[in-house]
Amino acid sequence: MNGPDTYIRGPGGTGRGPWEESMKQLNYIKLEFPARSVNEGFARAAAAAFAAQMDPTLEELGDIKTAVSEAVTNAIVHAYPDAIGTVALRLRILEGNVLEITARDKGRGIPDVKQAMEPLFSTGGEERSGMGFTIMDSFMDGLRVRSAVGKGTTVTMSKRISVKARI
Amino acid sequence: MDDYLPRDCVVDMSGLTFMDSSGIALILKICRLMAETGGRAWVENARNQPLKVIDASGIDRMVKITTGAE
Repeated sequence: MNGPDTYIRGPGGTGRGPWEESMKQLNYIKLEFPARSVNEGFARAAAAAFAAQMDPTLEELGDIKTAVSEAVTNAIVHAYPDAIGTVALRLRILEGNVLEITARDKGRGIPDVKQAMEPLFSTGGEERSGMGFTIMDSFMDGLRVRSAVGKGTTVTMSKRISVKARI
Repeated sequence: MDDYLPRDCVVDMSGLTFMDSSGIALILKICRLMAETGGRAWVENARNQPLKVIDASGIDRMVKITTGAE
């Protein structure tokens, strides 16, 4: 029986991400664009622009741009080997100053998600480092990857943005 | 690199403000190519977000990385 392959790493290694709890959504944006390399920079900039309302530090903005870059690049490089499909990027601001990022494609899917997430593992040949998931995992608090062969892949990440003192 | 076959290759990140794992792939490729001709490669002036990505990737175990001022 083949079901969607799932790997979850929640904050603090609990295995549950904040998206599992019913957190109130305060704002969101949805973007959809062709899986073209030229759109990676735009996706990073859009994510940073949306996250700005959370008053993140420069480092947190860098973390967000990096994680978005990795997830979007994965979809662009791997999802559609024979055509240019679409990538959907959704960002949500959840109660508790949490930013949730979801990158979804309807491409070929990942046969073994756990293997795909091993550091240095890549199906992309010598031009890829195989570090994408490792970096997403490192820069975000929570990471969930769901994929089904022939159906597509959804990567959901979350990060709690620090609250700044107001004088 | 193929034209000049240098002995040493320095990746100077002085002006670099952002890098994702494609940069890690590039560094590893440079190191591999230099090793094939018996040369050396290393990274200088890594800082801020690019340095954070280098640290997360763990390539500092394979490649010499020096950091720059903030």
